[in-house]
Amino acid sequence: MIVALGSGKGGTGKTTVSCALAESLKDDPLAGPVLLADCDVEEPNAHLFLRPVITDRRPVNMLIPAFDENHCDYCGECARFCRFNALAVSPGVAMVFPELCHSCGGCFLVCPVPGALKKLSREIGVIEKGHSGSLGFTRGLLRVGETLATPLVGELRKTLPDSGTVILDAPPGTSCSFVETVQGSDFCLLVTEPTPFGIHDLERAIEVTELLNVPRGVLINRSGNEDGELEKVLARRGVEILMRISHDRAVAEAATEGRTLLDVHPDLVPRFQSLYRTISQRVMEAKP
Amino acid sequence: MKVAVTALEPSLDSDIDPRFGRARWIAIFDLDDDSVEFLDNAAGVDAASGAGVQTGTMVLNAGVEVLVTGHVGPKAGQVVAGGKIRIVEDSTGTVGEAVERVRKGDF
Repeated sequence: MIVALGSGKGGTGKTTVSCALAESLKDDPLAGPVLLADCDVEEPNAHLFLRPVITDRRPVNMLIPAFDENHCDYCGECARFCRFNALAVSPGVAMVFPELCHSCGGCFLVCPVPGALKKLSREIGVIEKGHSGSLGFTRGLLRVGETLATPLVGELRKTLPDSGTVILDAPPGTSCSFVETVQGSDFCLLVTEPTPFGIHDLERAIEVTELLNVPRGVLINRSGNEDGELEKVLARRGVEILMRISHDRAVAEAATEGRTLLDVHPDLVPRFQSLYRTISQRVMEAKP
Repeated sequence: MKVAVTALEPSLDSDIDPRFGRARWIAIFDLDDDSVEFLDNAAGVDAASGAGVQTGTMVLNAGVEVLVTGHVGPKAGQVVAGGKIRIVEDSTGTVGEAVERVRKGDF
């Protein structure tokens, strides 16, 4: 089962909850082997809490075009096709802007002149694999300066096992890299906080999961006596609240020292195990 | 000689558009016959990425020798530099005034 953790707003506790959920399930026979995949490839941070041993690291490359000016006749078909404007062609001028290229390969298909476009490969980041005790760990790490996180998330998704439990720590926001993470997951657990920003961005994230047809539920982090507005929104949208974690300054202080939620509240383990059981049930119910 | 000026509106009285890649209109003047044409750059304004590359290519294809605008970004700059166009940045005022300055060689 693949469970993606998203939020909309950043800083609501996706990584805190991902790590705690993974740690709570790693010795739970019902969950099978547990793998945490940090899909926030622009700024992965789960490793700070899990301190994994990395045993494998491989580069991820993207296919990009390059002009061979001995063959190119500057017809411009490739540049007209490219919706990302990664190519510029005018008589006597043919340029590629690799950082704009999404690697769709369309330019190679539309180019009418054999040999005018060569295929080059460009490294955009790495995928690392390892483990933290009995918990499996993997993450993508985008090369500094790269802007395209989505292809790296896509490559990371392809390496995930079919069995056991996979927990995806999604990037914040609701843009392409979030979509790439959540798409095809069995469930999306949305971690939110009862603040206006938290609620606003949560609603966007809910809408994305609806479009992707991924069942969803909410975990309210930093829950207190101001959950009312959030509860109203969730009731209106028909989204279930699966768990609440009370606001506790000690958790934030622990995080700044690289300690986890479970270090502070080991009593949460059975609650996370029970959350897992509820999610499994919702996944079963959602299957046609 | 042809001159390109970025414009907010398709009019000589329009202010210069300070942006190049996402300029709304590109005025193309032919100083030899005093003709003017306004190229619609809606595609550049709405481009998800590479607006400067797209607009730069458009200006290259128009065969201009001078480009008057506010600021040309790095990618657009590379494209336009490929065509040996003289770039006049930080320009303000109206499109008509810009053309007059170029005509007098005052830029």
